[in-house]
Amino acid sequence: MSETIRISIDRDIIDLAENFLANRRSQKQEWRKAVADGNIDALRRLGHELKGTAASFGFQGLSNLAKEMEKAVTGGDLARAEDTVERMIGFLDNATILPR
Amino acid sequence: MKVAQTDITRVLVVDDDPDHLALIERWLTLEGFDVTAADSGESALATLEARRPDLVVTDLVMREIDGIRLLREIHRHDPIMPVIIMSGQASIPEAVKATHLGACAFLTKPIDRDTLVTEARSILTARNGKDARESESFGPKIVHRSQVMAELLGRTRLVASVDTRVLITGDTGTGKEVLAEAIHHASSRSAAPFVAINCSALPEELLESELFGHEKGAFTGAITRHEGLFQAANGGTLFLDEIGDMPLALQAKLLRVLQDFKVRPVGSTVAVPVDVRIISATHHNLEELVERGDFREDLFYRLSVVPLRMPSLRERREDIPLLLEHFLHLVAKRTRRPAKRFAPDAVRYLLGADLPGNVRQLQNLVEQCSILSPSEIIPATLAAQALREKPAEIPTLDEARQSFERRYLIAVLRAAAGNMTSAARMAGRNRTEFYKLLGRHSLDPTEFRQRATGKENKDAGGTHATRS
Repeated sequence: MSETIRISIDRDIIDLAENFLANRRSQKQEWRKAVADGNIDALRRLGHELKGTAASFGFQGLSNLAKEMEKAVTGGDLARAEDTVERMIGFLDNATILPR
Repeated sequence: MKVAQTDITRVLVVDDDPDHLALIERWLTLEGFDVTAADSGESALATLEARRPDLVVTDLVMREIDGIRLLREIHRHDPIMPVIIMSGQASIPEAVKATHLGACAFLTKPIDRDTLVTEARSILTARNGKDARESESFGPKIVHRSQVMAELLGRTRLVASVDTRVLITGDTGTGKEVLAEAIHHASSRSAAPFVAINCSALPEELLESELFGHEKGAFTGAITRHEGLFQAANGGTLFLDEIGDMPLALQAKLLRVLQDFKVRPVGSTVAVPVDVRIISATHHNLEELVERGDFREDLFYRLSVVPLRMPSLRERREDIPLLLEHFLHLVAKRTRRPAKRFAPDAVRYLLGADLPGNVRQLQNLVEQCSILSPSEIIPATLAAQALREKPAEIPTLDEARQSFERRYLIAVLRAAAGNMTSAARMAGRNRTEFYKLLGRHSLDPTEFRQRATGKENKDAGGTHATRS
């Protein structure tokens, strides 16, 4: 999961997209803690919110993962949720924005 | 870069996800809108007064005050404020609810920049047009030149400014609701909703939950919470038409609301404070109903603080020519055709005609004549013909469906002699569904069984012994 993921983003919102990624990166420990605590509510909220916001910015891959995570949590599958959260973190670590 | 048509188009954006909020704010700002961002429903409500936006764009799912509640709160203060709701899930029930509550548009995430901007612009354009029409048509709504109407309207204007309860009496079709609405619009509550309900149109239980609301699960079929019309009209006016037909049990409940200024939804233990002006109306003589014991005296006095009587058309014949002209223009506007005119002898004929259905009957007649008349001038013969035919009051589609369904079910039950299995089969429904249908119309299959076996045999196939 160390391959760079390049995402092209409209110049008009490029600073906001960078902020968005930075904000989510700073939440990584919170996410892992929510998984460790089995905090279903927090995970579901996280998945729901991220799914929409990431998609509006154009981070479709991250949105898909968030959606998958929300689904796993709702279905009570914490193992899959944990796996998906790690993949979301992998996305954040490797994402690079290209201006369009 | 595109620039907004006016430089003062203010948009309030509400979202509790700061990144998404910043995104929507940026897109709208780049379009030339003057954007204010609020990171919660609470702060949106707090800025609303000060900012006076032209449009609100809000997220649906938010902590504390969500998009639907925000929509309601906004419309309590400004019923025509356009609101766009954004939502994560493409959830149809939520969208339907939001539209029902007066949201202008429902956008699902991911939000597309162009869709958002197009939606915002078209709503603002439509709204500007609507405002102009409304202010133009408000004044002449109560058409008159008769002394009796002038006196009534003079009194009404006085009443409107004082926040008192009003009882409007008058025959069917005289325009009691029109008067009630005019009172509302001329009152200090005009910015809040005017909500009308006909108390004779609903069965008791439904009327109760419509008025006072109900909790989820309060009774069979109460699958969702319903806030009720008292709460919907909060800050504004609730018009109770045909109050004389309200069942006694509900009269008692209504009386309590009028005493305590609080409503308790069915199945709830909590009473919610409401601030609603009550205008009621009836074609009955309420004093007579009170004497007969069909209407609570204490409620009568609470409702009838100021009584107003809508005169029948008979008492204001001189208004007929004005009313004809008014309705002709309404039809023309609706059909987008030039207005037709009544021939002078047609007007003379209508001036002397018997119009027991009052203004409403006159309006129906004008519509019928406008549509049927082949020429621009409506001849007296056509008016006379329309009046003789006395077109039956057209029921609403729902009423027509209901009454057809009932007649149909009775026919099926008769044909099946009350046997549920064969009746359901004839109707092409399964038994459960069929039972539900019967329940909705309070039909009892055993009644049809007795007719077929016992009595009818004795009567040797003669007339049906009806039990009801």
